[in-house]
Amino acid sequence: MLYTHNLLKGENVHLAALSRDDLPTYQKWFANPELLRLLSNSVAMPHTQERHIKWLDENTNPKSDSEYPFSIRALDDNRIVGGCDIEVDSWASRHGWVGIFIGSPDDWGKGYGTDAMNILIRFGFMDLNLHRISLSVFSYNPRAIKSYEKIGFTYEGKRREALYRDGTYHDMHIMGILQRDWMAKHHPKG
Amino acid sequence: MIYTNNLLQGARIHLAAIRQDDLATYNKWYTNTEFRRLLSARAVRLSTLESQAEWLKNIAKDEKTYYFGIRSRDDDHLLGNCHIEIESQPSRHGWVSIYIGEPDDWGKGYGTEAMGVLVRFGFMELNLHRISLNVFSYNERGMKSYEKVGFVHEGTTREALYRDGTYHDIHVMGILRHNWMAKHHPEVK
Amino acid sequence: MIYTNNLLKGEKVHLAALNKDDLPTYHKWFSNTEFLRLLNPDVAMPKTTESELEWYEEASKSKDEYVFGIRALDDNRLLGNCSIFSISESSRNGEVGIYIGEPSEWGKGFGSDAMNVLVRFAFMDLNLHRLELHVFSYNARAISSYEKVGFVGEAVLHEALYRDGIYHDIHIMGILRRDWMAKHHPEVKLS
Repeated sequence: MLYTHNLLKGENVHLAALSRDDLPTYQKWFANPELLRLLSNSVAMPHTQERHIKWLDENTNPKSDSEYPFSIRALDDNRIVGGCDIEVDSWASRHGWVGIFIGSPDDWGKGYGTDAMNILIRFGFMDLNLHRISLSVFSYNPRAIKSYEKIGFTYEGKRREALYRDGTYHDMHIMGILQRDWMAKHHPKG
Repeated sequence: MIYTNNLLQGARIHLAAIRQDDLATYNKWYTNTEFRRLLSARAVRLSTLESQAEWLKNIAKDEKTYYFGIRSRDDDHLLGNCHIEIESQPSRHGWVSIYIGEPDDWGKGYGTEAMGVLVRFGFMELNLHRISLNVFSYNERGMKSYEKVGFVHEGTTREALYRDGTYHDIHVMGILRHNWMAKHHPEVK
Repeated sequence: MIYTNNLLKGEKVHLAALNKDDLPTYHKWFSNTEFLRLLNPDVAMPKTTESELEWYEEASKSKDEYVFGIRALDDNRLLGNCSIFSISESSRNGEVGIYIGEPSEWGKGFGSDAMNVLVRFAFMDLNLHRLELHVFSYNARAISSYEKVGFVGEAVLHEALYRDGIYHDIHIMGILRRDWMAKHHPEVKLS
């Protein structure tokens, strides 16, 4: 079987190309330190407009065949709810890293992230032909960890105390999913 | 098993990075029209040392293609050149090209040996699923050598090449990893 | 005989220059993964408007590619795109690519008609000797359309394309000018 029109479509969201029209939305989201601290280990500085524009410039026209950035949009009204990407670490090893976020706290906990990650993983295995997909998640983000487990990611270890936040050090968890395990679950006959 | 120091080595040849001081040798080959007409479908345009230097600069920036010089193991002299160009990473499909530059070195099996190493590099290091090549219908020696390595004739693009008043065919040959593995590493599943 | 005002005209479509006003239509097509996966072996990434603008600017400047929009004869609406590229001057070979962008326009014969015009342009205006195209094994509709135009299956690149857990074949099809001429212009003697 072939995924055709539905390759990038889930139950609540679909993955689409990035668009500069979304700049104001990104700016609003990335002014929120809570989101910044869930998304990255960088210092939680609200992003400047220049930084957003530079990021959009790079990502609306990726120059390498290792980067696959998407926006996440709701199926019902097509509004942007977040972003996700696969970055191929090694084509020879067919290994990629994924990242994902839902931008507005109002949209958290509604299953958008899980739905989008399911599509992203399917794209990674069914179109990019990756062998393995990895992600990194912070120990204080149990909602995300649970969502990743639901999708089929396995906890593989942690970078101990790799992240300083609010007086203590936190661990960075590494999770991974293999193509054959995903296939066995979703396409047992393939 | 893991290939370590012998990944790029055959019995008599090894594959090595291309060197600046090889350019004069390349240039000598590239002004030989017999050689050029076996290598490329393009009309012969004689090269210069400067155009060779430009080529070397460009291949250093090329992230999709893996270029090697073919060198003799006994005295390290340059025998020829080969490369794998990745056509599609998701489909794990690459195209190879190979030549032995000096007509005196033709017919000695150097090309077959180097192609064996190049294909092994494609499957064991680059993790390709399929490797393809094109060969001109009048290059029977080339075709025989590729068959020895395990390439299979998959079709013929008719009259795709004009040379000396007639059109010649170009053959497409391919080799799949599972066939190559079954032959060389039957122990690997 | 000479094709003059009808060189780029078929029965249902005509081939026209690219037009920047059409970019939103292209953008819609290039967000459709079903379409992308029939079109080429690339990763089915939806295209951004920026990358489409870049494509347009390059295609409209190119001196060694011939890129056309396919438009309906009745209302001039844009149906798709086709091009001749990778032209080898000395061997007079070229590669063709074609698509109808809108799924609701598929299966109506627009592609075959446009391909007929494109092939005629290649043989009657560009003076090519041979045309070639690549098509995926799962695109049976396209294969039968190309056969109708006169393309012949010449080679199969086994398992050259990964899609959805399996490897598919890529077919190479070709057409020679003298075969096309014998069918369409038997009165012309080729030298």
